[in-house]
Amino acid sequence: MDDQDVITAVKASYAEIHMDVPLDVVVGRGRRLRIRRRLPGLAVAAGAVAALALAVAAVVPGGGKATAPGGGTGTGRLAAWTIVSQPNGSVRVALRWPGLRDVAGLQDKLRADGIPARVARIGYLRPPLNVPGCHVFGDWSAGPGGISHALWLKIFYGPHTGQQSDHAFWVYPSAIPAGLGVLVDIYYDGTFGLYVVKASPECTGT
Amino acid sequence: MRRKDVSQEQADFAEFYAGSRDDCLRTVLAAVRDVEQAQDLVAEAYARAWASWPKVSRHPAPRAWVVRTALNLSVSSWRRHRRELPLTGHDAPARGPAPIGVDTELAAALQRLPARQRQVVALRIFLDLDTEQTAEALGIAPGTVTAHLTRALTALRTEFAAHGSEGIHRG
Repeated sequence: MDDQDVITAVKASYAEIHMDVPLDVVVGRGRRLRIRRRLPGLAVAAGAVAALALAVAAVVPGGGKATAPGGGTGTGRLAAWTIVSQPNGSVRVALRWPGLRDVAGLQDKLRADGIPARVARIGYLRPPLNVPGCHVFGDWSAGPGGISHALWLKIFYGPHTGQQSDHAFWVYPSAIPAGLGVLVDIYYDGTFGLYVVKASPECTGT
Repeated sequence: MRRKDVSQEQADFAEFYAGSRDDCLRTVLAAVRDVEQAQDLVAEAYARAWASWPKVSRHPAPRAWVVRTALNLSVSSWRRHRRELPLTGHDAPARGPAPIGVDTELAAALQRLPARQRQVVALRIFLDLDTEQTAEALGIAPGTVTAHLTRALTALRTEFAAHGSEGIHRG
């Protein structure tokens, strides 16, 4: 057996391995990264303001505006997620990893705040386009069965594009049309994907 | 950017993804072994490629860019986890069962190689990169690539000879 035989054998042995992640999922994630990079100044400024808001909320228990930390238990542990209602009507959700385990708690809180939401730890291997009980709109285009990019931006970015970060996102509840909801897909590293879904009792609780 | 340019950009990326994703996954899988982790790493690398597509599309070897990004993410992930998981070292041979669909004996032989040798072999075999491209993708000297490849192929050839071709079977 020479080197070429070895190379051929190794290559053949991996022939049945295929990438199952749909293009839509990759592009959806990449698009969010791309938007954030286009307006780094706004992202930094918004992040600083949000961090300040979170700090104030943390220092003054119960004194914030609808602050809802969750998922953390025991003395000294940071909350796995924090929800802060903003004066402009949006809701900012900050995630902390690896403490984020209580996705159901986060989902319940978002729903309690009037957002038809589904939160799941799905990962690339189980694409969110196939979430059981949910009709997820692909975000590659606004073609048949899709939603417009503009609507997606209105729901998750509002008037201020560039404010998202790797571990925090905004939702603008007033921008969610009747009959639609949001899906938050928590990735393996604590970052996330944001999608629009059809609202239903099975998917978003409404 | 005009709408026509955006559409062309999307079409170019879609074509790149369809034509390279399996090879990139196999390359990363050979390095990290776990299929789910490899899929996540490669998907994240492609997402970053799309986020920087105007730059990545002009890269001399975009597939190598994706693989290097995925491998860098793997290292970052390991650094975050190292206080929680009982790893013996980043350069330790990978452990665990062979990925489904991969020859078990062959996969075991590959995983017994040091991490850098696995990466060199994977880039040369699955992406058909030459020595210079492999060196650039891994951030090492071309001479080091040659040395790693020679050692790795020698080790694999010895393993195969010990098991005989009949011992190689699908798991």
